[in-house]
Amino acid sequence: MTCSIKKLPDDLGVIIITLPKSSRGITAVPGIGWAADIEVLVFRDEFSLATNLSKLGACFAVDSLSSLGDSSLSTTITNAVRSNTEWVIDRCYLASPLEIMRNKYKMMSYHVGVGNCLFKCSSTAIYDSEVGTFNSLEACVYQIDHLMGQCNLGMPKCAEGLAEYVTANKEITS
Amino acid sequence: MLPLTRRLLANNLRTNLKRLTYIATELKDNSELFYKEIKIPKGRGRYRIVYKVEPGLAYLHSLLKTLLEKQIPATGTSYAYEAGVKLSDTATRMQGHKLLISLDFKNHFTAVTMWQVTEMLKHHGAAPDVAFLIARLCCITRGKRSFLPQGSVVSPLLSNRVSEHLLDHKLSERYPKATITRYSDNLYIAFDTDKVSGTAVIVAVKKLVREETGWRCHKCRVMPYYRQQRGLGLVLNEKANMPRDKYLSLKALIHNLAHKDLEEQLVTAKAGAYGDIDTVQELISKLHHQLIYWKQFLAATKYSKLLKTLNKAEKRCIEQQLD
Repeated sequence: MTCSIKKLPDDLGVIIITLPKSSRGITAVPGIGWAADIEVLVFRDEFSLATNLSKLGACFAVDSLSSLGDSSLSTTITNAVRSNTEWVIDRCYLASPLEIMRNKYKMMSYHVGVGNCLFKCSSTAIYDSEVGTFNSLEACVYQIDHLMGQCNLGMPKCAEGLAEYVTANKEITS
Repeated sequence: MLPLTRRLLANNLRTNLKRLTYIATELKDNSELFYKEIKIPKGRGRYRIVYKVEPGLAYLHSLLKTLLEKQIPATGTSYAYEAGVKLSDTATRMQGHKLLISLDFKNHFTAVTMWQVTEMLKHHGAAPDVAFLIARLCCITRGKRSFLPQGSVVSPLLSNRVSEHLLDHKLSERYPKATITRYSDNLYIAFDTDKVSGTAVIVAVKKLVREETGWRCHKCRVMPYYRQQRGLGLVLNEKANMPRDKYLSLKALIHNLAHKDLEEQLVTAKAGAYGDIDTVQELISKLHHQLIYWKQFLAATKYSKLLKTLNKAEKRCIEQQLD
């Protein structure tokens, strides 16, 4: 599968992987619209994640590369990292930029079957410069739905599910 | 660093790429949807065109300004619209020179093109597509020209950065011994020798500005030390001072308020430079604010005299109200 890789200046331990929309199949990807190309960031290790994430954007879904959901997309990303870097996969982190639409995270993976997800809701952390870092499952209103296997991170329901936590904590921090 | 991709730009601005792309496309074809043209009379039948930005785009501009301020630091050659730069410091830099030359860039914001903004952003490490998107979002299109609109919060910052990128270093190279101060669209070149021909410098600078940026200069003035050297609304001969005509008119107004009929003075002030004032209290309050500003450019004795008289006028005004 074709993908383009962009290394950051000075090789700070971050690469940007861009995949065509056709490569996602029926995989739910948080923050990226159904018809858009997929653009994710891979960090070499925890240190580069902690140092560079806030410099690159305002909100991301982040998880370790080794704990991604079981999908062809995650395999493609892992293979791309393997073939283009000499990084240890178990130490790498994946971040997906979350866009915002009407004050809510843009979660637009429509018509996706449950089980096909790039990020596992239970282990994914969400970084938001205005709210802080939080676990997506713990913050979500629909956590019972997820535990009963009815949704995954990236589906439209997540925007609603996380909105309450985000709004409440944004008010506290501001 | 500047956002590496358009999606990361949208992420930084806490919006989505689709919205940014939509706005950028509309700005190219239908700029009037986002900008309202306002004509401000300048006198003698001339007017200045400023643009009122639609609230959604204005908010985006303020976010872009915050982002660009952080990511593109100033080189230190811009003395207007920069955080931490005071007018008094700029004046100190310009005062007491043997020869002061001033030039003004004609229609400065309008003269800064979208292409120049894009190139400046690329120079600072932005990817071409990101640079183009930022430039498009910050510029207005009229006919076939895209330029910075006067009235947007991000325009002063971008015009400063474009000037720093294209012009300032060239001027420093050409005149290494001169003190060069660019205050937005006003360029001041000061020399500590009287062996420089002011007219020749003006001709050379005009040519340089035209070649490097495509901008035109006007209101060019050569001010040797034995004539009044004016800049930034101040007299800069030995030390920065309030111009005498301004001082005398302010002194006269304050004196008249303290000793003559208040209402009569209000009518006179309204006919002059205080057209937007409605009451004597407002006028006195405005004069207090003006005195606070001029304090830094006035001798201590002059300032204290003016303040004392103004306090007297204020007291009189209160007494008259009580009666």
